Amino acid sequence: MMLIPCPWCGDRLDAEFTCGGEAHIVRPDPATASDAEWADYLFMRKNPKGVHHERWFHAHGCRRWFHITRDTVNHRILAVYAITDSAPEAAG
Amino acid sequence: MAEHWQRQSPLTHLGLSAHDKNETSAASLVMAELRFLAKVTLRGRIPGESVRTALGVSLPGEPNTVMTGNNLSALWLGPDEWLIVGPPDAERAMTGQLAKALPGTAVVDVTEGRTTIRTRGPMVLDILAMGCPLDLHPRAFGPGRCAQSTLGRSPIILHQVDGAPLFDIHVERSQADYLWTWLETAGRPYGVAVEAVTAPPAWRRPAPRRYPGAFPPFAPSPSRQPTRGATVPARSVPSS
Repeated sequence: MMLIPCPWCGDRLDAEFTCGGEAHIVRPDPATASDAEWADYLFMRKNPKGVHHERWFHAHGCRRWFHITRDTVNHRILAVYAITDSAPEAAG
Repeated sequence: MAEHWQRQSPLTHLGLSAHDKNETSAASLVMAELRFLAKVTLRGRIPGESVRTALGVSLPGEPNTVMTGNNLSALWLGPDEWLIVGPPDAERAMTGQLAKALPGTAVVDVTEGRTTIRTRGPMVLDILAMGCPLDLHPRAFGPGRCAQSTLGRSPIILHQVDGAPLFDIHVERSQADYLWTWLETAGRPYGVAVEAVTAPPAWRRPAPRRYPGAFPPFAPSPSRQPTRGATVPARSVPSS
């Protein structure tokens, strides 16, 4: 069990949310990207032991997407920020 | 928007009206179905005053709160989404008023999508806590607050109406039977009673306007009357 701080609804149980996976993946230009770059964009994801930026969706609540910076070792949530924002520097 | 004669509550088959004469004072959980409450969703950037002028209720700006007025409740569902709940049969007039007052905003009648289970009683907080991850303790929740969450894994919109405490659970139509049974099962060891709820007072538009009658008097046009004894002309069969 994990409490996730939704920017709108406050702390809610993780069962109300859907994880959207790694955040801040930049789509390369398909006209110029090599096959390797495109495959990296499509399939390759970080799987860090430590700080990770993720997208989350409050599916059973306000139905809004937002970003979370989470430590995958101890599930500590280091930052919550808007879906349009870039990753905070301090949280790594 | 269903007509009256088509309308059926998703809990009809439980025959609740046969049980609602029982004594409720000894029960720890008292449940009732509020049938056919008018429900309208609003989406968009909406100035709260325009809704107040059109319906007589303001839109709450603070997340997960409810504003009431003119027999309506406006529930916050998202930063640009609200649910307005009113007495039965108000949905047609409400959508008409809103569509006129808020051009370019999504105003959708979702009356038939959900039904409402009203729960109260001394054990209601404990029984809801068996299946709902929300903190409903008075220090965290209270009258005039609402939340979307799950109850017994079924998605709900929860609205605390007063501090008695009394909760209105707006549940999706297809899950209403499941959730009613779930609540009954959860409360059975402590005593469950069903009560009848008198219909809430009718909603009146702030500025009344007459609508033309729904059904004009029926008068068949004489040209389409079949003539008695008329013969049907034989169809020519193409020779092959």
